[in-house]
Amino acid sequence: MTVYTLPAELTVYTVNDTYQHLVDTLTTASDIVIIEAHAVDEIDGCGIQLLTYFASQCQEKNTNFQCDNPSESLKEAAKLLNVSTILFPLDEGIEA
Amino acid sequence: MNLLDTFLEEAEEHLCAMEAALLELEDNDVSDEIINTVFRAMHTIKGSAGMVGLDHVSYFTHHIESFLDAVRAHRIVYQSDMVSVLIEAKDHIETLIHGQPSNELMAISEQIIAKVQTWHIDTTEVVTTAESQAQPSTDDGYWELQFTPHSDTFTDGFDVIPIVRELSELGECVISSRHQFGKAEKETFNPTHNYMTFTVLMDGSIDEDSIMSAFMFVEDEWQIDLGFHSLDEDVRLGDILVSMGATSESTIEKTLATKPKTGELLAEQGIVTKQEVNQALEQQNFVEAKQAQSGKKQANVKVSADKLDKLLDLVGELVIVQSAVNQHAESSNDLYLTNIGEELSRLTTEIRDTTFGIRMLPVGSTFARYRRLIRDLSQSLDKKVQLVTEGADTEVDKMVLESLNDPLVHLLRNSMDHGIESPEARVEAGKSETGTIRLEASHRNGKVSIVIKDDGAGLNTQKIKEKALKNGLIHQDDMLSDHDIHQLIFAPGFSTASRVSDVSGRGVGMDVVKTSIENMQGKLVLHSEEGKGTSTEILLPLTLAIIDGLMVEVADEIFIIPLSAIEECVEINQEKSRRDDGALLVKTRGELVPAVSLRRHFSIQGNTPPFPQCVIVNSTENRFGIMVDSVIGQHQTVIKSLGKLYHNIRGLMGSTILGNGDVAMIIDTAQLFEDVIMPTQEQSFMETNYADEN
Repeated sequence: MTVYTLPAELTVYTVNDTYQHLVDTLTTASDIVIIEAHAVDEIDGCGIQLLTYFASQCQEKNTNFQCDNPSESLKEAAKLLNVSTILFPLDEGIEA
Repeated sequence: MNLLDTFLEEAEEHLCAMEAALLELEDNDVSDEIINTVFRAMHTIKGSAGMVGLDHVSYFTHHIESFLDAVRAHRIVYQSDMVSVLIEAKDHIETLIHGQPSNELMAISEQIIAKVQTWHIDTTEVVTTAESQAQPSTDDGYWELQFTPHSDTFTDGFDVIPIVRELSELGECVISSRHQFGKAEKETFNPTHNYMTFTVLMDGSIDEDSIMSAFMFVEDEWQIDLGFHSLDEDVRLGDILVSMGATSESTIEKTLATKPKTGELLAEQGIVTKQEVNQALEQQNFVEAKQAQSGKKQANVKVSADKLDKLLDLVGELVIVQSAVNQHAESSNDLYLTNIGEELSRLTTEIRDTTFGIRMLPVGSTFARYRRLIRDLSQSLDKKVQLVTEGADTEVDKMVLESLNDPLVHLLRNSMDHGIESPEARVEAGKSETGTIRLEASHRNGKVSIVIKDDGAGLNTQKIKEKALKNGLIHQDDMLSDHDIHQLIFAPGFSTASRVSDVSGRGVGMDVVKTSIENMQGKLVLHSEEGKGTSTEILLPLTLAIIDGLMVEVADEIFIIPLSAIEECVEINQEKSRRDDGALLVKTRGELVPAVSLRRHFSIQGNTPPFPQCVIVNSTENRFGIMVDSVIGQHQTVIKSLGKLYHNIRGLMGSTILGNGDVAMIIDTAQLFEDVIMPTQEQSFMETNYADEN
């Protein structure tokens, strides 16, 4: 189990760094990657896109993806773009 | 019913709806809703015609549909003179669907297509400027918005979240996002580039401008497609997935060929993700919910009229059996059987009422054709006339409604031809240039009332009187009121028209109208005031199949008299009632009323009891009595038509089967009056004896 904590800002200005961390996390991950998302305070479409991309990468590598404790900002953005079931599959799409 | 028959039936319905909408368009301001109705009708006919192989219909409707599509999308500015061409197109489709394709018909098709294409060419430029104001904005459909932000949108400082939020705040919508993370994209993935594309289904009532204003700053860079869909269109999951770009049509077809559940299969086979299927299902649910809300997907079942007639026949038989059971239960004093009989009565009444309900149709379903009639006659007679309809929701048995068409057409033609004056004559008479014909339907005292009222010249009493004298219908010294004189227009062959037109005036009309209304056990009431107009009221029973009747007896014969015609029953002292010529008069409530003896009329053997009963009826405003031996009581009567052998027997409108299996004849009061009372009324009653009310 590998855990990565998302930063407070997940926008076009920070996605490159976060992307690199996520790639590293997936490279070292065994069976499950847990993304700790409580700290996400600011997120834009670019940030959401990164998370959905990462979820699809995990699926491709047969690694379970789990996004824990999503912040309100993240939940609202995911709901707006209708990607809650991708990012929070265990919660069947968390209500924002 | 084969596919072609089904097509023809449905096409007729669509053409009817189309005509009604076009006439409404002609009378009122243009509305998107009406244009959409016309478009939908054309769209459906085109699709169905193609399915049944009527390519010539499909070809023609395709062109008209394209034109209508341009009008509803405001690519062509609506002009009032379009209606006439569209009505012409509607009539042509009617000819096309019923006839064989021919060079002549194709030539007409091309002529009409050429007419609509003139607008296409003329107005395209004009519309470009008006296009930004275009908005179907209707509850009859929904918007499908597809947009793909530019690859550099995030680095350019734009974001999708505020735009999606703004869209979601406009009204009910379903948002689906798709991420294009193909193999190539994954290898060169740049987190700051956009790989997302969105599909948003939105409520049709949302304003188009409001939707587009969300993209105000990005519309030049982003790929944005906004389309309006009618709720008539089916929403299939496969189509949505194709439209989302998740898969192709050919893949869907291949998958469908193996198993029916598209979504699961596509996800199982890894063609689309579960997320995509869920999003597509959300879209499908959105549209289906809209369709359900607008009533488009009501579970309606089409049943042939023959089957409904058969059902009503069976209900009639059931009523007879129920009557037999009740009669047996009463005579047997069996409490258990009586209880069952009562329960059977309750159920039978419920089944009867439900069956009648199924057969009831709103009168308004025929109003459109009258509107068209008035429109065409206004043009051919060069008169200005508006038809005002009221009570379109009034329901009436379909058999009654079908029989009502010819009389109504005749009365409306008469109003147009003889009632409403020319615009000049109206102005001279101090009236508005445009005449009004009102067609009103309502339920009154358990009957259907249809009133045709015009504000025209009214009947010319003097002219009718002169004509009646000339024809020998009346004598110079007859004391007749204006109202009585007006009723003479119902005499066979009567017409005061100085000219015979193709509209009316042949003198073969009003008596036929009256007869056909009376054949339906109806009444025709005419009122006219010279210079002010004429009003004709048709009163009809709600149904023709089962009536409430009064069971009466003469010797051992049972007769039924329709209850709707009966005023009262009185006991008569028959000693004073006989007359050598068979004519009778009875005195009731201080008034002398002519009467007919059923015993005498039908040559029934035996003697009349000393105190027979006289049933006073009111047939087409004429009171007269029907003398019988005794009155048995009320009876729910299932009308069975008489065979050909009995067609010549006057005074009978049908028969019915009684609870004990006996057959009873149903009296036609109007015919009795005409055959027995009217001839004797022409003789003087002054010297006759009369029967006293006992």
